[in-house]
Amino acid sequence: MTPACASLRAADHGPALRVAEQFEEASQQRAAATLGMWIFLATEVMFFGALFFAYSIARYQFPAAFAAASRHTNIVLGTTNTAVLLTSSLFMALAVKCAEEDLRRATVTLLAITGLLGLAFMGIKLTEYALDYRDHLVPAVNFAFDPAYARGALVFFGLYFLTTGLHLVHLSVGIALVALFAWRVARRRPNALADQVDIVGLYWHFVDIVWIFLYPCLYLVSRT
Amino acid sequence: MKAASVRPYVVTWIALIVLLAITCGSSFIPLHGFNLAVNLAVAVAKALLVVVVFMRLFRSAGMVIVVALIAALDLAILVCLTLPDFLARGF
Repeated sequence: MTPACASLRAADHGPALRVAEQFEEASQQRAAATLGMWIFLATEVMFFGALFFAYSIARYQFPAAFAAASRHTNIVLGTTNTAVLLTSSLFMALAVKCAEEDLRRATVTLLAITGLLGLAFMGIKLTEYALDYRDHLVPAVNFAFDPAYARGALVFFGLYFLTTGLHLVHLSVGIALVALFAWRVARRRPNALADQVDIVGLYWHFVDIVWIFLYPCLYLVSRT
Repeated sequence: MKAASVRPYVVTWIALIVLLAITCGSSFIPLHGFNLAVNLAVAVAKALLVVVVFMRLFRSAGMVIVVALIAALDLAILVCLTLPDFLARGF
């Protein structure tokens, strides 16, 4: 048992809930955890915001090359992945709803579906990376492009791998958290935070939102 | 779980998929520069749906709404202070 767990004491709100000693009651601890997650997400907005800003500047600088490069992304896999992630967010929202109504079995099932959809997204994305490699689109590894647009296309694919790669890192953290919380809900671990599926939900939805903006920036620059 | 409590989430998901179809489909139609505007408008609409319905922003504590607004404001400051610098270099 970690020191943090050892300092937990039972609250007066039933045997399943424990509240850390700095909090008066479970509701206060829940509010603090929710606020903490939102503050973390605010910092993430800054993190990804700077990348989107860099993308905007580069696209303004190389409009034709960005259009040409974007046509080399795989729109079928990209659109499929967007649908997969949006669907995973639906199941996550339902899992949070079930957790709040203390429907543990349903919560675990919905979290499992959410995590599996996340894994499906990763599988599709890695397939796409393999196709990008085959098409000589990986900067610093095997990049080859129409010389007229090579410089701007290099910047585009640099940003493509940077942003989708960072998104993938965030998604894998999300999948790990979903698995952890599903396990804890299933095991009925006596810890109020384990019941607070909504903070994992907030993180998951945020990662979804990042992809919502990445999708048109990377796949839809110029398809006409 | 009651069907009534699930409905808003399912309706939102349908809206998100419809918006995805709109943004993807519209990008194949030449709209003379408006393709970017459509894509951006759809992305913002999808993000707002997720933030308001799935993340329940306006049913959260007042402090949470303040944090969300500050995040948006910080992003606006980042863009507004940095953009003129790039534009002034004249590329």
